[in-house]
Amino acid sequence: MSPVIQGIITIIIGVGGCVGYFYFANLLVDRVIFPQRDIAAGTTGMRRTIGRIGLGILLLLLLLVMFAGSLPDALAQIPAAIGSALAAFVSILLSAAEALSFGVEWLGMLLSLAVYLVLFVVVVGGLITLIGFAITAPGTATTGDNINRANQMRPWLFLFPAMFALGLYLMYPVVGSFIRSLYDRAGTDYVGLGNYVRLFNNPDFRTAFFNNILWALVVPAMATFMGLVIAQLTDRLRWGNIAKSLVFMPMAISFVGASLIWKFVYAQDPDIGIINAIRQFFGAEEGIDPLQIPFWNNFLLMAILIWIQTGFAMVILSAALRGIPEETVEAAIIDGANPFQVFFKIKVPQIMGTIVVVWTTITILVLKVFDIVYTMTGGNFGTEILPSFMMDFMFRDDGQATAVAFVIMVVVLPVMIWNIVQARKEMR
Amino acid sequence: MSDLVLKDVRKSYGDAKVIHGVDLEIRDGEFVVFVGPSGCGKSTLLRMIAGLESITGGDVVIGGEQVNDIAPADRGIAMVFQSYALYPHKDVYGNMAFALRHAGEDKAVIDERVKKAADILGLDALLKRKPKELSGGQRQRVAIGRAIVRDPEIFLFDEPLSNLDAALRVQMRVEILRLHQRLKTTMIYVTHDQVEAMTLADRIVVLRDGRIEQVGTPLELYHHPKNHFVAGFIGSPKMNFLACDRVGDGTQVTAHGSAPITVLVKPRDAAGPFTLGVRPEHVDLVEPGQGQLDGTILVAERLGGETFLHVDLGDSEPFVVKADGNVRYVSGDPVGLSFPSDALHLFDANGDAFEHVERHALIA
Repeated sequence: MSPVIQGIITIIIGVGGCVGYFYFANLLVDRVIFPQRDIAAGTTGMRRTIGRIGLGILLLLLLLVMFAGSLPDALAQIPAAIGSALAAFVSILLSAAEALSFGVEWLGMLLSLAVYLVLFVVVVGGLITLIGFAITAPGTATTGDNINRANQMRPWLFLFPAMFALGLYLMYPVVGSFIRSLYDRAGTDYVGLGNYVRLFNNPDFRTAFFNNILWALVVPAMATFMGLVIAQLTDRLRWGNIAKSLVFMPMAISFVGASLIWKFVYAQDPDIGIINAIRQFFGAEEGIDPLQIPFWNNFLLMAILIWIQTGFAMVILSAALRGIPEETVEAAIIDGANPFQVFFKIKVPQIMGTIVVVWTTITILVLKVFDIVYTMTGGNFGTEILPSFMMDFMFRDDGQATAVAFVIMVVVLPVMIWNIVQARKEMR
Repeated sequence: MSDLVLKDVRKSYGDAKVIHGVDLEIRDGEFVVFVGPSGCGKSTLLRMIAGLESITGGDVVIGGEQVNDIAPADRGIAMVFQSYALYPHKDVYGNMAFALRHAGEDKAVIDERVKKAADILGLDALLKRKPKELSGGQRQRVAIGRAIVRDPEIFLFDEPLSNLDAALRVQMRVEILRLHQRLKTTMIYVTHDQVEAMTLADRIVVLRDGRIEQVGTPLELYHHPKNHFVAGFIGSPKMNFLACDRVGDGTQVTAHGSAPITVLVKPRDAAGPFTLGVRPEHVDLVEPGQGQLDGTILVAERLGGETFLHVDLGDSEPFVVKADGNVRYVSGDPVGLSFPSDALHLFDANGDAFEHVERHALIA
């Protein structure tokens, strides 16, 4: 099949699936589970019973699967039997689809796809119906009751796909990584917190941890501060927008690309590197490699990220500065504040929420940065940070690597929570 | 406390001239209201007095000192903005104390003055609140309090009541008036609401297109408008205008072929066409044929105590008459209009008013 058609089919299935999910799920809730008519007390009771028995059976099957090992064989066989029966049923449907396609390949694919879609709808729909039935209140349900209950259920209906996807691709990896970090290099033997103990006893890890804290403090502070100052300074200039575009441009460069650019800046050859060119201008004989200066080379690497992130801070803070009511500034001028006081006592406090959001957003980014260090020094000369340190272990000792990953997550988490809280406050 | 003099004050943004030479003297302790339609330059003029806009030409003199190039904070003025302009991150106390703290005042002095202002405005209980926890009226009070605390020589108000609802506006209007009686400070107040202008002002300055149209007490503007614009702007509902012809010695006119109407003005040579101005409250309703003009009722707006009749005289605009609220008026009924000659206004082709023979009894 041509890739174009594959692409189009993917789009149709994706969009159709989404629209179909919301359409049919709502239909199910509004017509079947909570129909917009009065339901007699007997019927609601029956619905509740059906729903609870159905959910109970599902729960029981789940338990059977989980504790299959410690159960008598006869019981443990049940889920497997049901599974194989279902598989047989599906294969019958699929072979029917095969037969109906009369050997036309694309028709066969389409039909089998349809079978899977129908099965998906039946499973999801059945689950929604069972839950809906199980939570049916006892006694007569009037039309109004049903409409209200349908509206109470609707948000969950809309959230379900997102929660499912996030659970699968976000929560599961977190838990999975944590469990993996409790096992040894091969992933076979449980070592408890051994990986973490080894990490904290490793001087390289301590260096990386210390460097990372430096990064997390210096980069957001500098990027936010410079973004704020540039946003304020360019606000009233005629060529301010051009200046802003220039400052913003590094945002569009990948970290690796930016690192390559800065490799030229830091190059040892005075004909290439500006630092050595300046040194030579002032009479220095020998070129030096700035990236090998202990401790300070960390700041040279941070400069790259500051260069990239200042544009981000500037754009957001510039918008926030424009949102400040002009009258408060004028009132402050009449009250006798000078331009510095207007800026620091009137403007900055009013956009403090935005500043915190920018700051924390950059902090989170900093804690994930790996490319710059990897490209510039490869973690040598004492410039290691946690993500590049993790990279050293990856595929060689996944136990240690996941432990580092988990440490990073624990460090990021409070910043992230603060970021979300502030961002939500801003939106209000 | 201080007087304010504007001498040929001009403002232009590039080629666009906004204020075309304003001359005005405001006496110490006077309450002056700048009024005019939007875009007339009244706010710009106020902001020039405040120092928030540069002065293109002319002089602004406060208390005998030319202040053109003096910073706003040193002009001895305080300003209240339409949107209150409270500092959202400071509580009420912090808002009111901000200026004093910047002036390097002693803490005890700040405290005393803020407390005093809060007392005047009834804000004592709210000092620890942030602006967003206040209602519109309370915010406006804080804004006024912030101005009072600075103990200025001149208060500037830029449409301070426009953001409030109708009931609160009436209440705050009275409060501002009482504040003026109590502080006896010069106040300049900008508004487009002519009710605020009439009720608050010692003198009203009517502005149009960056020029002063007339300066005078509220009653002066009401009874003796200098021109067509002021006549139409002051008074609610607005004055009716009828195209008319002069007959006889110039003190009589006919409109819509009416019987001659006597207007008590000093005759002078002027080019026509002429306009007769008559306020809705100065028209007497009579039986059809008994007055100088007849018309039919288009709409009767009943306000309870009074009724505004929109009468069709054949013009594009209806002729509005204020009538007794206790009489039944039906659309389509004919009515006669009688014009008492002492309350009529006559304007020439330029819109300039003919001077009345006698000044109104209440105006010195």
